[in-house]
Amino acid sequence: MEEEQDWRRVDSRILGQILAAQNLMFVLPDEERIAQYYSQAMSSIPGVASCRVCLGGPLVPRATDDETCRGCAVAEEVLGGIVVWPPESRCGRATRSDERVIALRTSERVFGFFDFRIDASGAFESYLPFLRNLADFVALSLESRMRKRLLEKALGELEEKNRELSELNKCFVGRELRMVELKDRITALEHVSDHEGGGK
Amino acid sequence: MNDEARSVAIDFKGELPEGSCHLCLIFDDDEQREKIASAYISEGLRKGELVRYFADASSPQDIRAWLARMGVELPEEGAGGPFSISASMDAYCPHGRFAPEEMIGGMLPRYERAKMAGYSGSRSCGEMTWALKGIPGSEKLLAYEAMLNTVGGDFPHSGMCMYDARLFDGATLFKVLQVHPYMIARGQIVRNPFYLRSEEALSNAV
Repeated sequence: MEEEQDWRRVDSRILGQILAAQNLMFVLPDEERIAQYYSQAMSSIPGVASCRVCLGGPLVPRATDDETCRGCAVAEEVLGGIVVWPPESRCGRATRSDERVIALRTSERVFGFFDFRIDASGAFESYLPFLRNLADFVALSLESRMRKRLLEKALGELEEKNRELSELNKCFVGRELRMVELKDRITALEHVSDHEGGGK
Repeated sequence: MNDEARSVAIDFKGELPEGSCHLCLIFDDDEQREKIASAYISEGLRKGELVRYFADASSPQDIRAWLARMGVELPEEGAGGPFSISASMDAYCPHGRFAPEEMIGGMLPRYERAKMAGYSGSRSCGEMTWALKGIPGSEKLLAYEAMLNTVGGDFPHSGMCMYDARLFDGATLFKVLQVHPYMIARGQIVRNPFYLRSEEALSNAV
């Protein structure tokens, strides 16, 4: 059934905040800070009691005993220093009635979750579609970071291989030149030897 | 603070309102910061403003070097000139502690002096890493930033607080956004919807 959106309940300032929350993504240098920032920023959305951001490694706020991610048994993988899950992965905490979980999902992978604990006001639901848009943006940005890091790593490995090849090449060419030099020297010595032999 | 519709370009992407404004630059790259700060300084000098830079992580020599590299023509060094570089610690914590009320209290008289000296406005930018050094009173930083938004007067003044995203944690950076009406991210000025009115921000900060 099509989700019905009650636009009258949406505060334009909050929509502006959700949109502007994207800006800092470009300057946050690591996943830990991304999780801290979004956890804080999302907590100011009406209807949200608190927001936990899970990016695999960084989990903000940190899990306490009663908040252990027991449901998250999906095999994770680390690519370019970023924890990723298969695209169909779900957060095990999504079953709680006062929780809403939005996966940070691209077409290929899941990069983490926004885990909202909501209050009884019901205000949260009006912002859900916009928060999904934000989650898509964060996921795409994380994917882009991951690809950039993988590319940088591959480039570094290529440069290293190239350097090794150059060294090897230098070594082989040097040996070839030395062989030519030695061959010339043998020829010259044979020539001298022939002359000296003929003179006797 | 004055938030007139009239605006003036300041060389990097975006415009600042003419008059007074308070903005934060959150950066993760020194070259990025140098580019934006040099545009900000250069525009202030071009407009005949008194421009001050509060340094913490960089030395005055380094700052002058990258300003020159960015093509900013600086006036001769010396007391009373339109451009000065001073240590953030001296500016923010002159007695070894940070006292926001004293800082705010000294602003209007300082603007008055700049006005009397013939400057068209006052503009400053500060490296905020000093706040991470555990100086007594530095926990009042966000309250100070909120108070800055209440400084009025008819003399145009602007301040750009530079926060290094590599050193401040993500939650603090979000709180920094709440006390700046404008932010610059990757060279773009954003009218900041996270900004809270001073009273609200002050009640959160205390």
